[in-house]
Amino acid sequence: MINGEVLAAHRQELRRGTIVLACLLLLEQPNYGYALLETLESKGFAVDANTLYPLLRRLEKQGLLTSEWNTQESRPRKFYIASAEGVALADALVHDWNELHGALNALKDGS
Amino acid sequence: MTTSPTDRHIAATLRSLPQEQRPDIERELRASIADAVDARLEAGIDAAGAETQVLSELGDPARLAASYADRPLYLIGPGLFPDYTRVLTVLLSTVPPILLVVVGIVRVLNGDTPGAVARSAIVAVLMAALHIAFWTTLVFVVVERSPAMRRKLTRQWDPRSLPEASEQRLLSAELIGGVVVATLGISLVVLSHTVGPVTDAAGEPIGIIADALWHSGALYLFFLFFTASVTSTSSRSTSAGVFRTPSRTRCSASCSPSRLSGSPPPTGSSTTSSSRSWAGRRAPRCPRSPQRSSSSL
Repeated sequence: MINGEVLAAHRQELRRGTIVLACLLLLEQPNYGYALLETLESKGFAVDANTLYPLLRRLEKQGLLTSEWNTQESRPRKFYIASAEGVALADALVHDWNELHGALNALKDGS
Repeated sequence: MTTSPTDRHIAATLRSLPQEQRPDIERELRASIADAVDARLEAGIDAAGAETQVLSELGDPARLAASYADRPLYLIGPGLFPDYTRVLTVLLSTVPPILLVVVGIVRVLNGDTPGAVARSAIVAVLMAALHIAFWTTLVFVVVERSPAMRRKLTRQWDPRSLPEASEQRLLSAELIGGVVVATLGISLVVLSHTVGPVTDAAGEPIGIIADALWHSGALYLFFLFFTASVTSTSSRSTSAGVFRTPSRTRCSASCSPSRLSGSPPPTGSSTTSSSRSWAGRRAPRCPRSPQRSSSSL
């Protein structure tokens, strides 16, 4: 029997790094805060609003995202889109992810 | 004018954020909260309930603001904490007992009753312990929040820095010796105001330090520098294999009360030609000693 708390803690550790990559990949198309939150959830990357919004700002400060305000609708919204560095970083991380995936599978099969 | 829960939440979040970021974060938060509320309204929840749900998911405004500002939510982080506890333990285990003895002796010499002696000794010890805990913590909190100082003070822990069993006793002896000498010096300076051999015309004892210097607060600043140098010296000395680097420079004799790291080297020789490098560390201490010796005139 797996202890529920232990499982939850390790699961959180496993998923912690994936949110940034998921955001960068999703934001190759422009999107805004709440819609991104819903999309991430529907694609299996459940994340809290109070984690996502500061994260988007941090990524923008690091130059991985660019933002602009869309005032066309009745409610102005801040749209984010991955910058060139963001796309390059996402590619590098995906490459790393695939390597890890292969390595883990090799471990599982080998042993 | 009643403000909605959303307004209150946003105001609380913005309060601790820098001015230039506030308008943008406010606009974005309002839009996000409104979007989330709309989604719940479509799902059939009533307006007030939806707002409450969204705001409670957003959580404590203080945490949200700290997340936006990349602020640490602790006073002293794991990087500095072991050094902090080491320094605090050393200081609290050496200074109060010495103070107890010194104050006791002074009061007894003054001719106070045993009750008064005990009372004043205990009060002095408690005050000293409080000050030590407070100022040491304050220094470490400041260092924690200044990345430049933090980089200088913490370095890779080296297993070679763990001294031999006999050296360990000498290391603590060095640190404790320095603290003891410094505390005795400060205590005598402070107590010379109440008890002393030199008296003026009215029979009041004349202290070593002029009254004006006490009132200006410069001496408290000096005590703070002293604490800071104890913390930085001990954290550096206990976190790196410092005692094995060559060539040591010594300050002039006027530095001797603050000779925290200048106690006898492990080899037991008391000559100044022993081999340790304190050059970088001595520099901040020595310029202060002229202030100290001039203030004692």
